[in-house]
Formats: sequence, C-alpha cells, structure tokens
Amino acid sequence: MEKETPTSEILELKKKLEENPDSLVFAPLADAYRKQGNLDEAFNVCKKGLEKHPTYTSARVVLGRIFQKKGKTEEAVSEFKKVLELDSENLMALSLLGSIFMGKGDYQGAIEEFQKILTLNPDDEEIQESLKQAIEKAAGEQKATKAPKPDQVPVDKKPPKESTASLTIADLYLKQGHFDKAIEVYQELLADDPQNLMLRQKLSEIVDRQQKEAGTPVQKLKKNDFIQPPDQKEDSINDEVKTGPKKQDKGKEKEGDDSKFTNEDILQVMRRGGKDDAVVEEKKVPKTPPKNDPPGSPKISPPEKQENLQKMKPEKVDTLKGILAELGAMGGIMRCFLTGHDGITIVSIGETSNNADLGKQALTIFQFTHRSVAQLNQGKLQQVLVTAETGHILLVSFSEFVLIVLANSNVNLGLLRLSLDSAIKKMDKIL
Amino acid sequence: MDFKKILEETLANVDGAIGAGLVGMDGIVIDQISHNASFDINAVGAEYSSIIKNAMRASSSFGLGNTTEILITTDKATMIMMMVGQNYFVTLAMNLDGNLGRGRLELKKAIPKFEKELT
Repeated sequence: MEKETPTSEILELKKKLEENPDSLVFAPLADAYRKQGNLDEAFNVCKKGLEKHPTYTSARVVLGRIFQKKGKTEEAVSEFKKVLELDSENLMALSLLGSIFMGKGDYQGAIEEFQKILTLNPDDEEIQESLKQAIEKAAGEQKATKAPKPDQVPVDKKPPKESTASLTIADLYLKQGHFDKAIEVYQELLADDPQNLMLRQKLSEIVDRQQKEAGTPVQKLKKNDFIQPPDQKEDSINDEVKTGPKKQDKGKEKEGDDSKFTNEDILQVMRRGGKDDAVVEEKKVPKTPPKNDPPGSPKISPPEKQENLQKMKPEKVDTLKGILAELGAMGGIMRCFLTGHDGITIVSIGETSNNADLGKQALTIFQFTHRSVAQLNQGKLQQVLVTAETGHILLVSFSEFVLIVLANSNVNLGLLRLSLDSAIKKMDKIL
Repeated sequence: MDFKKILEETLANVDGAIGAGLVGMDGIVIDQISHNASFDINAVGAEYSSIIKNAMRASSSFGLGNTTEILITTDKATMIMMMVGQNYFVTLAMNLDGNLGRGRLELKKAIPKFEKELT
C-alpha cells in the first residue's frame, strides 16, 4: 500500500519530538499517524515513547487504538486494562473497552463498562445510546436462550440472566428519576422471586424516595403493593401503575414480558428523564391559570411587568406560561424567567418573591459575558451556565429574549439542556 | 511544577478540545496550551476572571453558595471554567462538536492535581 504523505500536523509534531525526544508529544504524533492510517509508524512512535513514559495513560490509550485498528483486539483490550489499572476513571479506555466487548458480542461486559462511564458522567448521551444498544442486544440474546416453562425445563438448565438486564434497566430508570418505571421493573422481578429481600428493600427505598422527592405521594402505587402475592400484584400493576402510560401510549400497549421494554420506552426515559407521562400530566398547567395549584406544582407568578404583557395577546402569555410550567415540572427546577434583553421579566414560574430583581441580576451575568465574548471575538453568545455549590443558573439567548433557569444541584443538566431546546423552539414560534 | 503536563493530558483526553489554561483570579495566566492559534488564553484570562467574579456575585444573591464552574457556549466554541481553590481557575475551550461531558469530567479530574501543585 502506498504510504500517505505526512500531514502538516504530523510534520509539526515530529519536529517538536526531534527537538525534545523526552517530551510527551510522541502520543499525539502516534495518534496522528493512526488517524492517517500509517499504523506501523504509529506503533513504532508510541512504543518508543512508552518505553520512556510507561505510566503515560493517554499514550497507552493511543497504543490500544492502534492495536484495535490493526485488528489485534486482545492486545488492545490488554492496553486499555493497563490504562484502567493506572487510572480507573479513564473514560476513553472504558468507552473503547465497551465498544470492543460490544463487537465481540460480550454484551454484559459492554454494559458494565458503559455503566462505569455513566456513573462518572451521567450526561454522556453517546454512552447512554451505547448502553441502550448493549441492553437490547443482551435482552435479545437472553430471549433466544430464555429458559422454557417448568414442564419443558431440561436437566442442564442454566440460570436465566434476565434479572441482571432488568436491574440494569431499573438502575437506568432510577438515574433518570423515572421512579414509576423502576418500580415496575422491581415488581416484576419480585413476582419472579417473591422471597428476595434485596429486591424488596430496594423497592421500598425507591417508593420512599419517589414520595420524598415529589413532596406528596404522587405514585399511584401503594407502598404495600410490593409485598402482595404475585398473582394479586399482577392485577395491581395492570389497574394502577400502567394506567398512566397506557393512556399516553396511543395503542402501543405492552403485551407481556417480552415486549415490556421497547426501544422507544428506553429512549423516552433518556429523553424525558424526570417524570413519567402520568405525573407530567398531573403537573401540566392549563391554559388559564388554575385557582388551586396541585401540591408540588410550580406556581405561576403574576406578571411582573404589565406593560410588556399588554402588548402580547393573553392566550400567548398563557401559552408561554404553560411552556415554562412544563419545563418547571422537570425535577430540580426552582425558577424560570423569560426576560427581554432589557432585563424586564415577561413571564416566570417558581417562587414569586423578588423574581423581577433576581431576573435582572441573572441577566447581568449574560450581558457581561456577552460583552466579554464579543470583545474577544469568540462568536455570538448563546448560553451561559453557572454552577455553584448548591445549584445552577442557566441563561439561554434566543431572538430578543433570554430564558433564565434556576435549578438545584439535583437537576440532570443534559436533560435540562434538551428540554430547554424544545421549550425555546416553542417560545420562538410564539414570540 | 508541571502545569503544562496536566493541561496537555486534559487536552489529549477530550475530543474537540482546542486549548486549556490555568489562570489566577487576577487574570494572569500561569500556564496554557493551545492547539488553535485563534484561542490564546493569555488574551482572555483577564476577561474570564471578570466573568467569574460577576457570576460569583449572582450565585451569592441567589443563595447558591460559591461559584464552582461556568460554561459559556457561543456559535463558535464552548468554554468551560472551573475554580481551582479560591484564587485560580482552569479553563478549557472546545469545538462545538467536542464532547462537553468529557471535557467537564477531565477538568474535574485535573483540579486536584493543580491544587496539589499550587499548595
């Protein structure tokens, strides 16, 4: 095969390495060769550098990737494992290991690696997607090898792996704050294994946590349900837990265990996070402000600046409030303000005290940053996220407006950003 | 003190990272590394420290405690700033297609290393 011409990046890095052979620049140089497809040169440079710097994990990751590209999977796995021995939280190594396991059909191994990454970085959407795929594949594999009914059980029956995958899914739901779904999974597991104390304990904890976070028992499921005998529990699930999702799924009713967790279910959990359809429905604010808000719902504040609102049709204001209220229904949101660039609050939800003043104050961060970014020629400011010890202030600019969200530290930032995108699109249409 | 090595490692572990720097709250850059000529930490240090001070005031007004991190997104790039103790911050600039979550995590991992070097 004809050798590629060295790129300017390679030439520059090579020069740096020649000037200082002990520098760490060998790693980016080897990686540049790898990207170019010059795997032999990549290997030589990397190997030589690692002899001088054996604990340089970034270079070891590069070496693993070179092996991977050469098709030497076992060597690649060995390198990534060495990296993890030195740095157990190396996301690149975890991610590449997970991909290799996926490729080899070791879905359980892949799930483990992806879960480690999500523990460290729950907002990594790419890994969330990879984990979803690994779970699906593992579930598919289990379906194929699923144990037959008792009268068909062969003597050498292996224990089914169902519980691992289901617990994984339950954990995913929990991480996303999707308590109802997690409870549903645990109930199913308990139906199969009613004596399992660990499952009972976990289920009890989730129910407690859900009620605590909601501030009120929003869960339609009674806490005692998890100790019901399996046959009664089945009715309980059908009558109570599934009522909400069934309404929302428009005919996509779940049919039996095998179709319980569809791709769409998992995707919806990842997209929606915080609450399930039924709970969101409870918290949705009607187009006209309610006289009595349900407990836990974000309060719609009176308009801070009537003059601004007078320019806008009342139904538009109501719609804007509705959009903010939907956003506010997400777990962890404390306040939302929609302000003009002049600092005047148009609509807001959450605590009503000092909204206008705090809205202005938050906006100063945006204005100040906007000026700085413009002076530094770093483009047009779109978003500022300030993270403090106990919460976040997120400011997003669109058209002539700034949406300000105040959230506590429990909020899922990845989901918040997704929800904001959607809310802003809706608001943009109205405004 | 090998601040550059820590910055290099951080940059190497983040897809789409274009530059990183350790800056004092007075705006003076302690060390920096850049893969893109258009991103010069020396030039932005003072502005960034002012942004952080401004955010600190707002966080305090909202009762959120001390500011620990600021993330700025423009139509060209994303900049992350994280506090290193009370007197320094580390900043990472990334392309828009960079892995932001990983960038944040790598910075978090780098902070104790900087703190160790700075004490």
